[in-house]
Amino acid sequence: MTTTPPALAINNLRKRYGDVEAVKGVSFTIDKGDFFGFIGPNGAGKTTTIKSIVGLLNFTGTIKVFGHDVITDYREARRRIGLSPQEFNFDRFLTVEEELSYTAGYYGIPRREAQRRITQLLKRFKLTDKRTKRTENLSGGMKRRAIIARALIHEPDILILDEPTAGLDVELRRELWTELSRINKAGTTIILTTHYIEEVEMLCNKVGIINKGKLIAFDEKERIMEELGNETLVLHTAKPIPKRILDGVDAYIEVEGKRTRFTGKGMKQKAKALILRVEKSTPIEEIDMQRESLENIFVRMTTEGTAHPEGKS
Amino acid sequence: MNWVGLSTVIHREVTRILKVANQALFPPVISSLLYLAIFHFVIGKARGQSTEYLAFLVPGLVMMSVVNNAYQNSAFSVFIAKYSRYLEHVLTMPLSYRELVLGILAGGIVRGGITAGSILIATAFFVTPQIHSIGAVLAYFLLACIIFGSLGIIIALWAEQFDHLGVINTFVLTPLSMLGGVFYSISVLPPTVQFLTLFNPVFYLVDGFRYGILGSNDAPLWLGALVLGVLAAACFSLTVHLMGRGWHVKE
Repeated sequence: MTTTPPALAINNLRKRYGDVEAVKGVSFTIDKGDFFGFIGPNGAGKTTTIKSIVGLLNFTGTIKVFGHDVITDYREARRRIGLSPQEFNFDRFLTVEEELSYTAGYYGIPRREAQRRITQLLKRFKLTDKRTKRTENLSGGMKRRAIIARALIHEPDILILDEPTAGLDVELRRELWTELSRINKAGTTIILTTHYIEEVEMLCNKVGIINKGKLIAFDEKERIMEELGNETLVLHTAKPIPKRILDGVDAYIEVEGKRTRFTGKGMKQKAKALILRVEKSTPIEEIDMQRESLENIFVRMTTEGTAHPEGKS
Repeated sequence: MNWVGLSTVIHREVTRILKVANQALFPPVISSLLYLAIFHFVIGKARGQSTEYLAFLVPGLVMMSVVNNAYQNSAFSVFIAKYSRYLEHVLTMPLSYRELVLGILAGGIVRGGITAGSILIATAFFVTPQIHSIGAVLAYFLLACIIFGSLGIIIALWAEQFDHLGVINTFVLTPLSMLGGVFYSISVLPPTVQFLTLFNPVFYLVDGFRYGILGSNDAPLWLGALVLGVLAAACFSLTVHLMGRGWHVKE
């Protein structure tokens, strides 16, 4: 029986720039078909990790892409990776079509097949009428679409997108989300770094949070949100809840007149008892249950010395 | 071997050269013709030995231009790619570093070929064209392209600004060419200088290429072939190694 190796396996990745250790022993595994959101503050080590995967950094540790070591078996590993880097790295003298055509060639795709794929990708990324334009003359949004099209020219098994939506307007961002979901549903593993946490919450099934070079959270998105996230029970009452009722409740409590918020872990399970307790003294007009957003969890986990469950200080 | 990949690197290099073909074609032809004119009409006629000397001069001028063009082609190609970050893109492709270096060197060979061919054609008006050994001509031409094309790649990887490429041109290539027996036979030099010239690789290139054209040479051919063969292998291996390490490109 053969087992399929993971799409990406990083083991004890370390990277030092002079005296600064940018990545401090990061290990994680991404399975085939995952849509992985890799988030962290600026300088946390996201781009360093990505550059290590694609061979643009010297590092210690091991990285395997579908079982192929990115150092010792770099050609096989790279055949499977499609990269959309954070900073555009086009040949400024080439047109969009030439850029895609040369990249197809580097991957060893014969000319006729390359032409077929280029036509498809240009159409899919709405660049057909820009195909003879030099990449340096494209707008930011078009450049982003062109670089993602370029990353897909060899139909990679794993697509790595480093901040693909930075600088895009809302409409373009939404279009890109739709396209990325489609690519992932078709079987391509995706690794996405972004500053828009809502993107990760919406698109990804797996999340990793990196801070100061260390992976501080890594799991299925739902589990992260369940285990690390708080829940908030909001009660709208006919009059303010008396203090004696609130005393001793195991939650972070915020009172705003007739609206009271109870925040804590497992609030869903505690809600019934709490509602019964409040109702004894004060009629309840409306009940609302809120789940902490991934963005809040992220901010809370990456902000030092924050005890407040909602990340406010 | 990723043949499609290699041919793509070559295609990109050659297309780039053809876009700036006038740079490969005109400057070396003009400067070579100027040298010939000066030596023919001014110096040669005064000394009464013009024709023979011009025939002696042509292979050296060709080799000097080939050395320069091979260096400049790879230096500029790699530096521009590095500057625009395109080199980072290429370094993430499934090309072996050997394929990548070979592809870039092939560009220098094409440019060197255009240069050499155009000088030989242009000077045919002054000197009766001849080729003593086509094998030697091609071998020394290729050795020049490999050695100085590799040097160009190494310098481009190291360089942080355009000026750095020119520094090597001024302080290394020009002196090596001028003192490499392009304009004279080393037999006229004092013994010490003659001995020192034996450490100049351009001398062996000029001497060997001149043998290929005229059939005459200063140093033993085996010595030149040995020195240049070892040097070409070392330069190529070092370039492949540095490209693989991403010297001054990867952090």
